[in-house]
Amino acid sequence: MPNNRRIQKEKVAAYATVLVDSAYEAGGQDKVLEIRDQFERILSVVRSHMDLSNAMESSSYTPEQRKTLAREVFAQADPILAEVLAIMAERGDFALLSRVWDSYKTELERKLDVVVVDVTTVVELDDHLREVIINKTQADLGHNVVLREHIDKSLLGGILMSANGRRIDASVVSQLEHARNVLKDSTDGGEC
Amino acid sequence: MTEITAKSIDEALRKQLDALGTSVESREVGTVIQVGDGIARVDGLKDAMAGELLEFTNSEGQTVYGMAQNLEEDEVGAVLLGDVTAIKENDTVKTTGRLVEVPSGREMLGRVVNPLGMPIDGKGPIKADGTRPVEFKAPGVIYRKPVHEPMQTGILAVDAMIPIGRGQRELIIGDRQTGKTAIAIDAIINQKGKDMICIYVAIGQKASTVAGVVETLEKYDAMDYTIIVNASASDSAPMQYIAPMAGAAIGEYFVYNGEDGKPAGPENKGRAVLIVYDDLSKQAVAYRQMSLTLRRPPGREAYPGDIFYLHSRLLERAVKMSDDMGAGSMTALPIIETQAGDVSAYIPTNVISITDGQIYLQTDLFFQGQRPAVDVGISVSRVGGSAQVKAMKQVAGTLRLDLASYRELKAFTQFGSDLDKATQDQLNRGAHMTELLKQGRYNPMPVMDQAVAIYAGGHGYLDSIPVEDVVRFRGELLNYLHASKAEIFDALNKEQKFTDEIETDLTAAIEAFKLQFAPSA
Repeated sequence: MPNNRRIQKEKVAAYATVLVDSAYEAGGQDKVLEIRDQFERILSVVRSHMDLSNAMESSSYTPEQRKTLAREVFAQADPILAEVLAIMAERGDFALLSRVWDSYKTELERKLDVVVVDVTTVVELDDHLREVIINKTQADLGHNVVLREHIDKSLLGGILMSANGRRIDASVVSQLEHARNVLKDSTDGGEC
Repeated sequence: MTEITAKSIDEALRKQLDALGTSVESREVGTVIQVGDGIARVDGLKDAMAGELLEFTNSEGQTVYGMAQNLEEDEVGAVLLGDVTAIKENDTVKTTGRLVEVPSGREMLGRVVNPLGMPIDGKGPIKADGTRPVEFKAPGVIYRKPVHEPMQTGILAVDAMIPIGRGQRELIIGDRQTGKTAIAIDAIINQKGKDMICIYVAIGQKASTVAGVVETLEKYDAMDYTIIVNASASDSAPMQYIAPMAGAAIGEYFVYNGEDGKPAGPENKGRAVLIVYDDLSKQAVAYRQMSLTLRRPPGREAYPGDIFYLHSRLLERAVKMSDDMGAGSMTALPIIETQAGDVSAYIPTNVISITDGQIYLQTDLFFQGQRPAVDVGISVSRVGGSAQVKAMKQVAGTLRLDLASYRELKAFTQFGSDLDKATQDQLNRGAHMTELLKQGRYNPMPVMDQAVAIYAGGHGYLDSIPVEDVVRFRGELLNYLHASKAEIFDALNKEQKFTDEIETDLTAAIEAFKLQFAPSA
């Protein structure tokens, strides 16, 4: 139903805009980015807990119960984010969480001209490398870049970068994994 | 024997590692938001293509492949092709930028593979010449030519009355246990020495049944030119769904490439391929399961709306290519299992309307001892007639009509006993000709043997033989002719038709043999 889809789209855009605008007013770009990080973690938690997402969307709870539940579950999150999530739960829109997250990232890029690039390495980046990565990604993406640095020893070496849903994997572990697959296929034909 | 040393192992490893591509790829990455029933709903893959191969990686680094099916506004519905239990919510999914492909090449001959082209026969790796997409658009009109070369099955009832041509789609339809697979296997066995590549696609069958087929084909030296694609009953629905298309892709390699592996053309002839889909009813059931779990709307008998298109685009890949395109061909023998003889069910009517004819097998005939249990009354071949050899056309021209009038008379005379001589003769001829069509399994007959046998029956040489001796008479007559009158077959093979001279010689030979034939009773 196109009308319904349009309404959903507008709802998603409204939640995302409110979130970005409120965050920006409360603390500028840093606050927007801080809420972005929290939102990402919350999304990951919700996706991996089927019971939680079901409860947030369940019509067997009253809107008030869902709102209270959301407030309690996300109590440690930033109050702006926690309140938006509580309203989503109250209005039965919690299933739109993934779409709101996408829309939030788009809004962030549009309003602040900023793209967040997640960089994962084995050792901490030095200033020189940080500058090289920022210059390169800014040139490629055409926006200002904010790096989110993560340390993950399991990469063994190399670098893993992701931005806008795309991932560039130049880690040693994935090269080794690729080598393992090639050698495995050429010795047993991938027999299963 | 080559000596294995540390140095040789080191060299082999270095060679393989040198071949590794170490380039860094930028891929779109999404997240699994729900998984179950072999289906995954994936978030974040905005640029995924329909039918694209997706790479799922779980938290332990294990990789499982999937195929993008439903491209929705905010998520992608994908079917998992491997270990469905390995993937959980929140696992990452990467696009690969390529559609699902299977390895293809000459090394696949004689092998048993799964629908992803991986060997499952324990005979080691397959060095493929390349890969071909599982979904491939059938060639258009200008690349084709009409069916004109015969594809003999070696089965008298089929080759005489339901002739199949190279590039034709002939459906084999019947209830369970009526000998559908037997006809297909006989057809494969009969291709020995005829430069035909055979592909047998087993869908949703017991692994033991497939093992039996492999053993039979090996016993009759048919595996040398055969490839078996197996998606057994224990494989997931997506694997059973792609199996026929994977088989077609493996076969297309031979149609579109010459013997040297280079693209076919006027100077480099493409190969002839026979592909058996055993059976498409099970593929339809697998696709129904997949579609329902993907939440596609159900239609008639709960099959999805595009089930007709699924089968039509698969069978449209059967082709006879034009001379400019190498003249290769792919003949398809799809099999459909009916329930209690109901051909008006959804899938049977669909496939009947798509194919160029059908071989209909009847349970009643099977239990009456008429094997193969082909009901020649309702079996047809719409295009194969132009591919039939002339000698067979000459003798089989009236056979179908004779048998039809025999059946009509037989039904009618069940109500009365007084029959005139002409009617009795017609009934007698019909009974003998019906008996003549009986044939054992794995016992294909060369086409000229078939023509001679029908010639003998059609000219009344069997009429005085007891019905129960007809099959023995046929066998002994053919042995006699091959042993003592081989020149008749030489002439027939040369002329490809019954000339007056051949007929005179043949008549004399049959009469001579008949004198020495001893009826059993």
